[in-house]
Order: sequence, then structure tokens, then C-alpha cells
Amino acid sequence: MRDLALLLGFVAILAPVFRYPHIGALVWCWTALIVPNNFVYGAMLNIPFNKIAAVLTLLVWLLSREPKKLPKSLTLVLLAAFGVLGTVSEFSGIADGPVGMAEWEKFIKILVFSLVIAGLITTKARIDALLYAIFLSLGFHGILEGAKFIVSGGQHHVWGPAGSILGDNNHFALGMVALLPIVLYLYKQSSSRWVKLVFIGSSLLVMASIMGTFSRGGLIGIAGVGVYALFKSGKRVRYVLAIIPLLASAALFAPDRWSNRMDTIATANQDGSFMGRVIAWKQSTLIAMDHPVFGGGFHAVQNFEVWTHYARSFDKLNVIPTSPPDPFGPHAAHSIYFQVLGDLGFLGLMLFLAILVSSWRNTSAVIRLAHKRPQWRWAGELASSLQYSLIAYIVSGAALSMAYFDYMYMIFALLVVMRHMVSKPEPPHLVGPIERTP
Amino acid sequence: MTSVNIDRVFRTKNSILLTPGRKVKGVVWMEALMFLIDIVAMVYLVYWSVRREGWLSNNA
Repeated sequence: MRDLALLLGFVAILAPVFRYPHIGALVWCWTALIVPNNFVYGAMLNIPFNKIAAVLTLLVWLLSREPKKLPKSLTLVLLAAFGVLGTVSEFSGIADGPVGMAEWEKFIKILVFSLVIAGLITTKARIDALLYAIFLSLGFHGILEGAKFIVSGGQHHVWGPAGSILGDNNHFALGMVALLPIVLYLYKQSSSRWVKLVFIGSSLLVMASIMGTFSRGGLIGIAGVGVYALFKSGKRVRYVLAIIPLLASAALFAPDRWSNRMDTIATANQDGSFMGRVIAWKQSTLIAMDHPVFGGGFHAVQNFEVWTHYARSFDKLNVIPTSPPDPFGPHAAHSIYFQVLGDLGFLGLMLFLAILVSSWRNTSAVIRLAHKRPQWRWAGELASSLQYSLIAYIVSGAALSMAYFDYMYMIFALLVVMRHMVSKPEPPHLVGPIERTP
Repeated sequence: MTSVNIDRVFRTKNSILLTPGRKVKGVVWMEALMFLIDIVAMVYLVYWSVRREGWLSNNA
């Protein structure tokens, strides 16, 4: 039944791609983030939906009359340079094996998709559609897992879809924290009371799903977003007064298991899990010190030979005291920054930080340019929401291996498009009533 | 059903920590229903989007 529904649905959403390639970007986004294969049991289990959507979108776009010109943007140049560096790093890296190569393929696919977004998602209607596709894919997991967490009375341990970057509970928590601002933006944009209710209910379930991950990284991400909101808010006292009962009720209804887990944040330096991360960060730094320009290649720190090699020279970084690394157990980098450092060296880390900084500058530019221009108010509100997603990624990502999280690259590309749109001289047809989404 | 999916269903069953039977089955049904709703919503979104482009509408 599910297989049939998925097949019919997939054919139905793919058919318009032949006429409108931007629909392909929506399908690409949906299949990448929902991972539909996780929800079927029969013939559709091994169908590469995402690959089909990607190839078809690119082909149709190339053959169609749709403009192929990308916006002039520093962020896109940085993303392209990041892609070139990643390719050189992978093929000249120290870690051989299929794992790194598979990661490189995903990395290239993510970067290509960000260019597709920059080229095809060029109007407000298309941006809205992409945001709804994100809601129906990434948001779907949050709603479903949040509902399971609630019906199980807080016993369900939330994990993301298997076989995706969100499969880990901590990764899932970060994904949901970064998604929430978009759900709230869609709520604000909607004119229908029923649709507003759907978004409010969804955001509550997404919050429940974050709690259900029992992830300390998720809590730190929420705290980071909350602190930023406090600084940004013009009504700080009201904000604090509103947040206190929310926190109190969350603490009251949270399962003991969750409270106990969060309490360990205060004693992180005695926590094996946290100190294991510090060891992995040191190992990644050692790789980058030996290969400063190109790094060790994708997943180098998780390669057994590479890990054991650098475990022998671990003393070089005794400045930060930790126990020696387990010689038989490579760990993931556990930080977006150290992940890029180990994989792509210092040059890669500089490019990655530059992408983050330029994306942040794009949000600020959009907010500034949209100010006092009613027709661009939606862009200002969206850029402001996306700042929260960036904060969540920058803060929570410090302890998670999510440097190549496709959702964030979608946001980077979306910001490029928005900045390009609001920077253009005012076309006469855009000066008029503000478009509202349903 | 492959082993991967059996694992996933059992993971749901284990993590729900309810007595086997109707409630576990209910969660599996809830997942299926929500997935179907999501597919329908995605189809609606795509056709809403093409209508905004002018296709299938009076302005085409």
C-alpha cells in the first residue's frame, strides 16, 4: 500500500518537472530530506528516488529555456572553491577506501544542489514552495517522532531516518532546531487560520522530538538560539517573562531520563562521551598539521590506519590534557569545524568559515535592504528566521559531525537568491500588494 | 520485509515500551497514515507551485 502510494505520488510530483525544472528542485529536496525508502517495505525499498530526481532536474534544466545564469555572489564562489578543494582532497588524501569516496559523492551532490537552488529558485513563489518542501520532508520526521515521543509518555528515544545524516539522535536534534525558524516563518506568512494551526502544532511536535533525542547538543543549540533571540529582541523583559513559564513547564513534564542526561552538561569534562570528542578533535588537528592544505580526505579521522597512525603522535597536542586515544576504535570528528579541518585541512576550514560568514552577511544584507520596503518584508522576515537556523548550526554543530548537512547548504543557497532578489532595482510589477502564502 | 525494516519496526516497538499489540500497531499505523498524508501534501504543493507559474490556470 505504502509502496504503491509512494510510486504514484513520486510519478505525480515528477511529471511537471519536464515543463518546470524548478519542480525538480522541490522533489530533490523532499527526497533528500525525507528519505522515503525508510517508510516502505516492498518493491520501492531500493529505488534511488533522490538520484532520479537529481538527474532529471539537471537534464531538464540544461535542455529547457529556463535561464542558466547564477547570481553573482561571493558565497557561490566559496561553495564552488569548497567543492574543488574537496575533490582534490579526496583524490590526494591519506584515507583510502569506499567510505571517503561515498562521502565525497554526497558532498558534491549537496554542492550541485545548492547551485541548482541558486539557479532555479528565483521568485518568492518558488522560495515559498521550497520552504514547504523542507517542511514536508524534514518537518515530517520531527512531527512523526514528536508524536511518538508524546504517545509513549516520553519513553520513545528519537532517532532520525536510517541511512541519512540525521540517523544519529544528536544530528536529528540539530536538524530540528535549525528547522524550527522556518516552521515559525511559514506560520507568520500564512493567512489561513487552519494552516497557522498546523504550523503551531507542528512546531510543538518538533520541539517534543528534540526532547525525545535526549541530546545535549540539541539543548545547547536551543539555548544558543534563545540567547541570540534575547539579544535581538527589542522587548527583552517581556521575552524573559514569556520564556520562564515555558522552561518551567518543560522541566516539569520532561522525563527523569531526559533531566538526568541534561545534568551531565555541567560535568562534561568528566564525561567519557565528551572527552572522546576532544580526543577526536585532537586527532583531526594532527591530520591537518601534517596536511595543512588539502587535509586527509573525507572521513580521514574515521579511517582505522589513519587513526592508529596519529594515535602514536598524540603527545604533540598535550596542551589539552586527555587520555590517549583508543588505538583500535576510530571516532567521528564530532564537530563541523574539526571535521572540515581533518578532511580538508586548514584551507578547507577557512573556506567553510568563510561560507558561514558570507551567509550571515547575506542575512544581514537582506534584512537591511528589505527594511522599510513593504514588498520585501517577507524577505526580511525570512532572512531573520534563517539567522536562527545559522546560529543553531554554528553552536550545536561545534560538537557534531554535520559539516556536510544538505539542509544548511540549501539555506546558504537560498540566502544567495534572496540577496540577489532584494538587491535588484525595483521591477514595477513587484511594487504592489504583498503576496501572501495560503 | 527486509531485515533493515524489521529492525526499524522493532526499534519502534522497543522504544515505545508499551505492551505488544494494539498500541504498538497503532504507532505503526500512525506512521503509515502520516506518510501517506505527506505524499498527498507534496503532490498538492507541486500542483500549487505549477499553478503559480501559470500552468493549468486561466492565465496559461
